Amino acid sequence: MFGFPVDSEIKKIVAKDALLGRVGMLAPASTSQKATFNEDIAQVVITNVVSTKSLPVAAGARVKGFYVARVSMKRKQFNPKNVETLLHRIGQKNILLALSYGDVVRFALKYDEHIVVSKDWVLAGEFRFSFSGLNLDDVWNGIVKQVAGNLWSDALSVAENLDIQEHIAKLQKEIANLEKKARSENQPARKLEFFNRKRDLESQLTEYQNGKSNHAQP
Amino acid sequence: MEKATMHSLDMVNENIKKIGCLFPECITETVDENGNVKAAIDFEKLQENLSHATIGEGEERYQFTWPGKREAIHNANAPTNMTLRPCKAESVDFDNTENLYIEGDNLEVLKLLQENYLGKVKMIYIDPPYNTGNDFVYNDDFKEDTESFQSKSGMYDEDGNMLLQNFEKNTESNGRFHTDWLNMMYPRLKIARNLLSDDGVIFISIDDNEQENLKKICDEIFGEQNFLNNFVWLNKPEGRQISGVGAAGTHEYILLYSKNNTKQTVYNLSANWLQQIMPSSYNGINADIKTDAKGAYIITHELYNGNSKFNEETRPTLVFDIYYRETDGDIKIEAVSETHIHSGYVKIPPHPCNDGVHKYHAYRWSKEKILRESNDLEFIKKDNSFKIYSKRRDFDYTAVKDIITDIYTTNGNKNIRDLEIKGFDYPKSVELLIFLMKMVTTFYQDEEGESVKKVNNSIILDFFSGSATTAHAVMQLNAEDGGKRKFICVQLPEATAEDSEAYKAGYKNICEIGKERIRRAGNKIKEEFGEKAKDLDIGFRVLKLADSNMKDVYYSPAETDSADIFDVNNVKEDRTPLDLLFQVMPECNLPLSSKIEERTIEGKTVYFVNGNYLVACFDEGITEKLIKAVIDVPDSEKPYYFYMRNLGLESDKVLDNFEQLFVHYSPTTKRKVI
Repeated sequence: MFGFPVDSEIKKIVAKDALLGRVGMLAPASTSQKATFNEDIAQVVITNVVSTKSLPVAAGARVKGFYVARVSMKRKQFNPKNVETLLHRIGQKNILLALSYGDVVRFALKYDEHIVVSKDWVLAGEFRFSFSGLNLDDVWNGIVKQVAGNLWSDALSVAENLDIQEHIAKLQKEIANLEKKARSENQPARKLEFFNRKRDLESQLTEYQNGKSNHAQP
Repeated sequence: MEKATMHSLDMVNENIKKIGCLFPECITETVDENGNVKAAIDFEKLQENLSHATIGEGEERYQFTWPGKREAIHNANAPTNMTLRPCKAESVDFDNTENLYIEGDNLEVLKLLQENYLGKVKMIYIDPPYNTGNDFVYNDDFKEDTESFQSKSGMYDEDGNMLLQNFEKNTESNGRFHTDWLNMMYPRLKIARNLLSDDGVIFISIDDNEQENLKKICDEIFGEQNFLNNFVWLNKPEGRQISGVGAAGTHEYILLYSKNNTKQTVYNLSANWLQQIMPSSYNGINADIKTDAKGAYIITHELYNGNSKFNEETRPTLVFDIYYRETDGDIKIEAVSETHIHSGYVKIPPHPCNDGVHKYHAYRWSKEKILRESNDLEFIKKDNSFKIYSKRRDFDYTAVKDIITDIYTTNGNKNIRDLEIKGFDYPKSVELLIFLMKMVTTFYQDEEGESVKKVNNSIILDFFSGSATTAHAVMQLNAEDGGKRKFICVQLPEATAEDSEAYKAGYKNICEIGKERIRRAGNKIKEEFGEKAKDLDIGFRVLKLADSNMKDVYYSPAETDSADIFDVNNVKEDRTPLDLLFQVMPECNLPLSSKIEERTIEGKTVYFVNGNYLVACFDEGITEKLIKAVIDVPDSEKPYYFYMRNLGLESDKVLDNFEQLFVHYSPTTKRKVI
């Protein structure tokens, strides 16, 4: 599945009750959290354990092995909060979630504090990850890069890249928000202020997308 | 489809809104002379709210008044429907520049600027007539009589220069000496205040003739608490004896008021720079500049707190012994002890306190900070012990004083002589303006209250522009520090006398001198600064005050037969689409320096101002295809405002579909017709 070695495959169902109950230091999820979670997520199954046993590379300093889990989604327009909850409570640092809906899939993972979710649905039967590097750190970073999608600079670290991506997403959201405000505002001075702020952010965004900006932390 | 207002802001309505924010219950409605409902203030209710703090008519009060003051206040609040016509031919880099040079009576111009520059100007500098008995004072009579103002014949000669009959010499003999001057200044300053940003300031040059009156009206307009300084400018140290009695005069004044004094800080400037330009008043940095691995520094203060209030009782954690090893600079910190020693280290006890109660002064730094930032401390050996000083790395600044020396009236003469400009008496000097500008536009306060340098894009306004020194200084300072300040200069096109130097040099009016000066100064600065000034904005848009682009029917349709109101060509025949564009830009709050792009769509000229914010077409025969081309675009490119003329559409069919097209393709676009 997804190009992972056959001998890494396992099948271990993760009980949702266990996920939403007390996990380590985490308090049990609230009733409303559980309800929201169940609106989107039908089942979680661990499908692969990738380690030096199944891939001919050395262990990394950071990654000694990682898991892949198939998450069956109940709807395509899922609430991203639920994916965050799942990554937060599953208790594994290096785990790749394959969010499946019918025959299509999107991927999600956590890198430090960054939640990375791939943008587009791809056909589950056809999609393959490509693996490269000499150790599992490189392999995992390669997967993060493939899930994060476009706009990746190999000159920067993974964390720096994710910072920039998050900043871009934030800018895009803010731009859309200001556009809406500027269009609905009747008072000319405020209307122009929103418009000009939007334009400033747009030029910042262009700068980021052209990779001119070298600050990982804007 | 809304009708555009085509006149400036009515400040009375703005004031009603302000009172409404504080006392909503005082807002009511009434009917004006034409039977239209309008907002009004219920004065009785307002009085109830202020019951014991109002003064009845005729009661004594502290006030400064003169004949015509009421009229002056009314003048400041009344809207104007005059307009500013762009003049591309006389402009420099019209399409890209953000600077403005406006010709016309500054009262009308300020009113027009109120619409889109309200609260946006960081600094105003003015050098108004000093009322010496020889200068001209604007005679505002022509504004009461718009007929005569609008009939060009009385206002301008055949070359478009304003005639002197509109001004009069304000001499003692006309018997209304201060009154005229005050009536001229008051409304202008009142509007000027509206233009200032919350952290904005105004500088006003003045001499003894009107200094006291100016201060009084400024106290009233800006508020006494917002008075910051009365700079004494020592502009003629050799002295000038005019009156024939008393001592010779050596100085003038520059009054400084802020819009809001809580938004101002101490004005600090580079001590080195101040010493260069005013050696008589500033000594530069009074300390040896040393260097270590981190860079240059000076030492001024020892590490202990000189105030004996900070001692072992009030600050027990800041009283300790410091042990210092001279060989490698290592530091240890221990509790105060008479007997304790560290071998190889010199013990430095806390500074003894002489208040008779306590033993020691506390240190200014905590133990942790001393250990962490020991490379910012200097240990100086003195009789087997050491004195500890903190290093000041940001040492090149000092507070500005309220006296200006070493910059003379003659500097101004030299500034324009260097540009080979003739015919202007006593221009202000560029150095003086740079000093004032640096003071208020090179530092700002960040959240922690620290002064921080930043690239500055302040708007600087001078509405008695004269020889355009302000514009020159803005360009010069921007070239020096990489700032992006923008200037707005306003000057009345006062004709030059036929026997004057200026007239002989080919300048028919003062504005021509001003514009030529900016052109030459800009080129000279570009040349001097070379690569450093490659992005420097040395252009300016020339705008000229004129009567409205619209015929009377536009403002008083009731007096026209309503049947043909939509068939009337309500725009004056000699006006261009660009003129109309500049009259509608303020309504959308767009600065007059906004970027304007001209595109030809379906054979018509369509203006795009500030990107897709305002789209306007003032040609006739607008087709559905043209409208579609403008609004059937991706969402983010749809216009926010669309303007056209009342006769702009090709046919009734287009008129019928006009609203529908917008509702369908771009419902959020505000469409307006003039």
